[in-house]
Amino acid sequence: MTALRVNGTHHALEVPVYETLAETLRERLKLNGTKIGCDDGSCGTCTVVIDARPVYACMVLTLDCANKDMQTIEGLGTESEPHALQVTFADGYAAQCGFCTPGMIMAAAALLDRNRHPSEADVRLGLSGVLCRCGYRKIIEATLEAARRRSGPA
Amino acid sequence: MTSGSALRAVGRRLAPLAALDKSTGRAQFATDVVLPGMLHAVMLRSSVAYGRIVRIDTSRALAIDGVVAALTFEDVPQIRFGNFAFKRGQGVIEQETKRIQDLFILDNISKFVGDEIAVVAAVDRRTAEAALTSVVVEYEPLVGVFTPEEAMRPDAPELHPGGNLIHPPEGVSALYRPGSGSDPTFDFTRGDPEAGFAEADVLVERVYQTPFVNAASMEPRGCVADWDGQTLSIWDSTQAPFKVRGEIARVLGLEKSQVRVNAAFVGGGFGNKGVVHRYQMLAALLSLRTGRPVRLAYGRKDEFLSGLQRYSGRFTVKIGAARDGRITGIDVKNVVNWGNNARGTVRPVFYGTTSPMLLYRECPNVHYQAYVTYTNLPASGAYRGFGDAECQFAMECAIDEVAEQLHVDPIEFRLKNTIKSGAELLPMFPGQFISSVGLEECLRRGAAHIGWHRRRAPNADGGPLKRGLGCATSMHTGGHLVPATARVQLSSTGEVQVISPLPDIGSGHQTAARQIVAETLNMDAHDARVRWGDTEATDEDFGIHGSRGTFMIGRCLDIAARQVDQQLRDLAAEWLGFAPHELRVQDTQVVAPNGRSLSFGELAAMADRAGQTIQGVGRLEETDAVWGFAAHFAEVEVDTDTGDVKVVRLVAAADVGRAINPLIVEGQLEGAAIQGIGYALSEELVYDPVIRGTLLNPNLLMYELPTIRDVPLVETVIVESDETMHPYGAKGCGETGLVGVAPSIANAIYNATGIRFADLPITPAKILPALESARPPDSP
Repeated sequence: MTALRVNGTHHALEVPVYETLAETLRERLKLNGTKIGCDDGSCGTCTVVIDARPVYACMVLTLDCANKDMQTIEGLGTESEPHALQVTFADGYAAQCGFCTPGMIMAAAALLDRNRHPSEADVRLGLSGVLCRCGYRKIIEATLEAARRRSGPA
Repeated sequence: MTSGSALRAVGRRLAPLAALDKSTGRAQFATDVVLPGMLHAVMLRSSVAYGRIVRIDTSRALAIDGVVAALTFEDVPQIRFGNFAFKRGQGVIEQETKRIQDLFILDNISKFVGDEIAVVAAVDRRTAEAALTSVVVEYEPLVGVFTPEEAMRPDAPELHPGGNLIHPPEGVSALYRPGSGSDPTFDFTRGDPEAGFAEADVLVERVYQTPFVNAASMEPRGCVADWDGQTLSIWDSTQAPFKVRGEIARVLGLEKSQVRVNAAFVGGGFGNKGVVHRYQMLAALLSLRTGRPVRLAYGRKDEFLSGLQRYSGRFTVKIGAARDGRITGIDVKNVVNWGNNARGTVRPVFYGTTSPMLLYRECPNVHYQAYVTYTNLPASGAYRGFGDAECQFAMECAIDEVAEQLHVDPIEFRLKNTIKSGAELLPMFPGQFISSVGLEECLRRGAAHIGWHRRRAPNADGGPLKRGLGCATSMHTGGHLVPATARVQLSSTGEVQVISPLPDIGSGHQTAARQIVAETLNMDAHDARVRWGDTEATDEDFGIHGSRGTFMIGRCLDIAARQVDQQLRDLAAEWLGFAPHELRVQDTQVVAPNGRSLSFGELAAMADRAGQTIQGVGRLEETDAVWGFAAHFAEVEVDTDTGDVKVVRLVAAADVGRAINPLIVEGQLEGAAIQGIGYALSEELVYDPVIRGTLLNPNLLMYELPTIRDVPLVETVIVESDETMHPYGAKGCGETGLVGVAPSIANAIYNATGIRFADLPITPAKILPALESARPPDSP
C-alpha cells in the first residue's frame, strides 16, 4: 500500500509500479480537474503542486509520491471559497476553453507562494512549463492581479 | 437598437459564463466522464503510408485477459461517411451522400502512416494498449503519392475513385461548376487579367509556400459512448454535436432520436473539431456491440496523426499595378496538398483563396485557380482562419512588395484598392452587397497605435539586432454560414432561459448569447440562464464553426427574444388593462403606463395554468455574406547571429461590427494572434522525405507552439463598423484575428532585413542562409 496525501486527505492505495500520478489522480481518486494534454511531459496541462513545487503529474510515478504533500486544483479552492487565482482567471477571461486552466493555475499558485510580488517576467518564467493555445495575455494579467489582491494594497 | 442608443447588457465586459467551473476544475470535459463498467478503447494505427491489408488477425489480442472487443474492417458495416452539408430551405441538417463521403468506419486500405485500421476495447487503457501489439497485420505495399505533383501525374495511383483531384459537388458558389478528372478543383476569371497585366507599370510574381500545421487544442479529441439498449449517449469533444448525432445515426442504422450527444465543455476547438471522425463511430459501435460504455480518447500523437491539419499550399501570385496606385490585375494559382480524405470540407479553399480578390475588390481583373489533391498524408480540414490564413499570407506579402515597388505607403496602397461598404460581393456572391467594412479605421488606428511613422527603409540597422515594422490586412467570414436555430423560453417560474445549440469551446459564445437576449428583453444579463451543448435540450444546428456563434445564433436569439417579448405583452395586456403596444418589458417585469406591472414569474404561471409555454424560436436560413476585417501590425527584432525573430509588439486592429463583450473580443484577438505567430515563425508538421509519409514531429516538444515566453502582450484595437444584418451590429471575430498575423510578421522581417521570406514558417534555418547570401562579398 502506498500512502498518498492529496489536498490534505490521506489515501492508502495499491497502485502498480508503472502508474503515473496523473492516472492515479484521475482514475482512482476521481480528481478529474487535473487534465492530460499529452502524456509525455510536453504540455504541462497536468501540473499539480508537490511539496510546494509545480510538477507534471504525467511524469512522476505514484509510488514516488508516497508521503509527499500534493495539491490539485480541487484542493486550491472551491466554487464557494475560490483561491484568488481562480477568481481572477474566471473574471478576466484567462480561462477560455478551460482545459489548460487547472495546470496553469497550479503553476501560478506555486509561483505566488514563493514570490508574492512577481513581475511580468517572473510570471512568464513561472508559467512557462504550461502551454495554452487560447492566449497568454489574459493569463499573465490574471496572475499579476491575483498577486496584487493577495498581498493587499501596495 | 444599434449604435447610439443606450445599451445595458451589450457592450459590457461581463465575466464569461461557467468560468469559475473551469478555474476550479469542475467543468466536465468529454473524457472526464466515468461510467460503471466502462471500457477503454485504443486504435491501432497503420505503419505504412499506402498499402492493402491482406491479413489482419485480432484473435491473439482478444485472448488477452481484460480485452473485451476488437474491430477491423471485417467487423464493421462498409458505409461511407465524411463531410455533409445542410440542405437549403429546411433549417436542419440533412445528410447529402452526394457530397464528399470518402471514409469508411474502418477500411482494408491504409492511406497514410497513422491510418486507423483496428480498435481494441479492454477494461483499462493500458490493457488495450498492450493488446494492440498482439494484432497481426500484413500489408501489400502500394506506391503512394505525397506531393501534389506526384498526385497529378497521369499514371499516379488513384487514392479515391475519380482520381486525386478533389472535386466538390455543386453549390459551392453560383460561379462554381464541378469538374472531373484532371480539371482544376476551382477555376474562374473575372475581367481580363492579361489586359490588366499589360496595363501595369509594376508586376510582382512570386511563389509562396505554406506548411501543414496542427490546431493543437490542449484537449485531445475523445468521447464516451453508452448504449443502454434504447439510447446511445455520447459525451464528445466536438464543435458540432448535431453532425455527430446525424452521421452516427445514419451509419449505424439508428434514428436520430436514439442518439444524444453532449458537448458542454470542449477544450479548444479552433474549427478543427467540427467534423465526424472514426473515433466517435468506433466508440459508438463498440458500445452497441458490447452493451457497455466505451471511452475512446486520443493521445497527443493521435491528434497529430488524425486530427485535421491546415493544408499545405503553394501559391503562385501575380499582381500588376499602375503608377497611380491602382491594382490592374491579380492572378493566383493555388496547388494544395490535402492528404488522404476530404471529410474536412474543401469548400473554404474556394472561399478563402478567392477572398483576397474580394478584399482587393477594386481590381477589375482576376484569375483564380486551385488544384486540391489527395495524397498519402493525414487529412486536412478546418482550422481557425481556414482558407484565408493560407492564401492571404501569400497575397499580403505580395501586396507589400508591389507597394514598395510603386514607392507608396502600404497602408495607403491597401486603402485605395480594398473593398468599400456597399460593394457587390463579386466574384463569389453575385447579387449580394457587403454592408460593413471597417478596414480604413483598422488601418488608421492600428498604424497610430504601433507608431507606423517610425517605420524606416528596409535593413536600416547594422546588426546584430535588426528591427522592422510590417503590416497586413485581412478578411474572414463574419459568420454567415448555414442555417441556424436557437430558442428563448420562460421556465414555469419565469426564469429566462437562453437555449443555444453550440458547445462551449472557449470562445465566449454563451456569454454573448446571454447579453444579446438580456438586451432585447431589457433585463440584466445575470438574470438570464443559458443552456447549451446537449442535443436533447437544444434545436438542431450546424455547430460552432466559421465565426457564426454571435452572428447567426445571436440573431436567432434576438428573434426568439422578440417573440417572447411580444407573448409577454400580449398575455399581460388583458390583466393590466392596456394594449400590448402600450406595455414595456423591463427588468423581468411587464410594466403598464400607470405603473402597474406583472413579473415574468406571474406571467409564466398564468401561461402554465393555461397549458401554454412562453417561448420564441429564431430560425435563419443561410443569409447574405458578412465579413470581418482586420489590420495587423508587427514590430520584430531579428538577431542576425542566431536567426531568431522576436515579435516585440503585435497590434491587432479588428472590425468586429460591434463588441458584444469587449473582454471576450480582446481574448479572441489575443489568442488568434499567438496562433498566427506560431504559423509565422515556428509551427510545421514535417514529413520524412526518405521514409515517406512519416510525421517526424508528432509531439509538442518537436512541434513548436508559442510558449508564454515567446509572445508579446498582444495589443488589440476594437473597431466597430456596426453590421446592419445583426440586431446589435456584431459579426464574427474569432478567426479574423489570425489571418493577417503571419504576413504582418513576414513584412516586418523584410523591413528589418531587406529579405523577403515566402516560405512559412520563417525559422532560423531559413533566415541565417538568406542573411549570408545577402551579405556583400567583401564584408566581414
